[in-house]
Amino acid sequence: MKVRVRLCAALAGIGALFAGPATAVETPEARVIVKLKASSPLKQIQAASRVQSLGQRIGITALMIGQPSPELQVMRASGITSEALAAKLAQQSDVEYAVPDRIKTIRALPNDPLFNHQWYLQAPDATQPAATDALGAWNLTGGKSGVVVAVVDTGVRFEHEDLRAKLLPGYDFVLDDLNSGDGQAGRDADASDPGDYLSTADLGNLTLRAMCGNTSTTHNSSWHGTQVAGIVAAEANNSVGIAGIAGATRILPIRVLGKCGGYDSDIIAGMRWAAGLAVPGLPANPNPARIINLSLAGSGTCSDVYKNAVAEIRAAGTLIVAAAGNETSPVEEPANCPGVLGVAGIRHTGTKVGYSSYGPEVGISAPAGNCVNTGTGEPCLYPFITPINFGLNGPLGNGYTGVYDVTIGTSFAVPLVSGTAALMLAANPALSEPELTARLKRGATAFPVDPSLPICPSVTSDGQCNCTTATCGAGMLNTAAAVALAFNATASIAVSSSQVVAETAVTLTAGDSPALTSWQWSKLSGPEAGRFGSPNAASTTFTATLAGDYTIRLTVTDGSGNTASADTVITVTAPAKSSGGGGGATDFASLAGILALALFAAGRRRA
Amino acid sequence: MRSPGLRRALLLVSVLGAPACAGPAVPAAAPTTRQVIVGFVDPTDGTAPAVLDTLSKTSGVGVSFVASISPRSHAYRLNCPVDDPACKRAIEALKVNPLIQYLNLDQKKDFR
Repeated sequence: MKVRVRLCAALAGIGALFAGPATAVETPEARVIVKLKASSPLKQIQAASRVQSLGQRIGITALMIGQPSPELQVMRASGITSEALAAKLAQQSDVEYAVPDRIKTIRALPNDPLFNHQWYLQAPDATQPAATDALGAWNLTGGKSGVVVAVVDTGVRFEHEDLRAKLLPGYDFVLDDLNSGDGQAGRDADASDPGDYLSTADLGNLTLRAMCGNTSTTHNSSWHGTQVAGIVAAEANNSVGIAGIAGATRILPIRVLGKCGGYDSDIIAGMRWAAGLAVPGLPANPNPARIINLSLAGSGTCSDVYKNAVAEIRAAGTLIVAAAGNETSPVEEPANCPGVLGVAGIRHTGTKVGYSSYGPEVGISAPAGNCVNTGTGEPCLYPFITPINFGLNGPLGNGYTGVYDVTIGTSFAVPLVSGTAALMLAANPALSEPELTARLKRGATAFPVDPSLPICPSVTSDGQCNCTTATCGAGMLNTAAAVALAFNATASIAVSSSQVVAETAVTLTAGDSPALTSWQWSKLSGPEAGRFGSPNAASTTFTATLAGDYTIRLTVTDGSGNTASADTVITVTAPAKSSGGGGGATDFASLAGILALALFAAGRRRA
Repeated sequence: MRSPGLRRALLLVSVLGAPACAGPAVPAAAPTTRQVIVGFVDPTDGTAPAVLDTLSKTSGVGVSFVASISPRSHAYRLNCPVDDPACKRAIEALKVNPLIQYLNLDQKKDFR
């Protein structure tokens, strides 16, 4: 033991000897890949000279260290970061683009032993074009523990080996004690899943039986919330079980489903609390989620209570992702509510899986699991592999579903989308809720066409069809593409006050976004032009003389030339008039009139 | 000093007045009850006795508080059988109350 301590001390000393001076560490070195426009005059000279000339223009000494193609030069410079150099070069009128020359490393596959069965996380290929390419996304970001996904479901098994490090405390919203079955009265802070089984004894309780639609069928526990949470965030690279899609993302378990499901009132209260909104009588949520995963549904159109809740949650900046349903029917509630990102299920081939509901309310499609070519004793070829508990009723030992289990449903497509959104937020925390949705859709892969299937909404006898954007959303979830898009510029505006008096300056500040190089403020609409203090800075003032609503636009550009815009409305009010009250003040014109009348009257009297 | 919740409740009473729908009394041993979600126009203390009394008088059936969803929305149990016409009349009466923005049935969802 003593020998080991001395050895460590010696190694530490050697390390200190070799530690360079602080200034050496702090001097940045830039490596940037630059491409000139075809019209650039620098095209007339040798590549190395082009780089030197570019450097001289911006006041640095630059060297060419590589030329990956005739059009591209890799340049190096000292005393400046790669991001700053790329930004300066991008502002040159004859530069098409300039981007940091980043280091990529070969990423080993996760060592989770069941990862090979998680086909939906692999790169797509001819056999499984619907695979999401989470692997590719993990080259861009490993996720962040500060990003929280709320799994609004049956609760979770906190002790599961692949989840326990990833779970926040959460809350149990199941109010009715028979529905809950957890032995605790009403709502409580324990989001653990006691099991949602329905036993013969349960059926003997007429109230519970009525709550379950007067069923006469018993069923085992589903451990559904644990399964869904695992698809999002099962710990990766821990040599155990599976890998979640969302890396370091954490899960906020919200228990709203018990025996035979859950009530809207509990689900909506849980959704609100998850997003950090107030629920009377409950403590504030210390870990608000930016994404709510709803792997649940029920028949019917979107009701007012869901419409209101969704609007408030979105206003709080939280994305809601919900299952379209498994009824081969119109999209169910709440996935059919405006502003909810509804997810339909597709097979490994990219066509609609038979059971998935579908329709114009779907925003995107993702693998939902399908068991093809399954004969007696054969495995389900494309199921999900999820964490689960083996208890038929109450909890027993934990483990995983296998390739022989039919673990399928739009429930499992949803966490792939939620997890992808979590990775996007890790890449760019400035992404707003609408931007998350827009970039998920923009990154989606076009649906393939199987000539043997009808075009949705026509379906085969088992519900299959070729997806269209009108029935299955923007396309097939592509996690790598969506995360890559997340890195692009984002625009957001913070306003010191959205209502000001005329001639009072309001301060507008652009939100943070990776590698922004330029900002442009402009007035889109309003009674007059108004005045910007610094129209090309990250923060500016805006002042107007005339009262009315002014729409202000911010356009930002990043080092790669990507642009994004955001608008905000400033209401300018007229200055309050000074008021004497009572009989009213006499203004100058009135006084002059009175004086003239008095003089006129005096003149007439003298005459 | 009266609380804002009590004032709102008293306002509800004064605005609504007599029951909008005085259906037949529901038997005490009704086999089932109807659970609804009421969204009020303004933030409302859903548990206030005056609010419950007003809802009951408006609907013509017994009303009990179930849970809060938000400062403006709460779940209630109407003491009437689901398929009873009186229950439907009670719901319609509540829906037209000017202080209620919406009323939805509190239905079940399940995992997919």
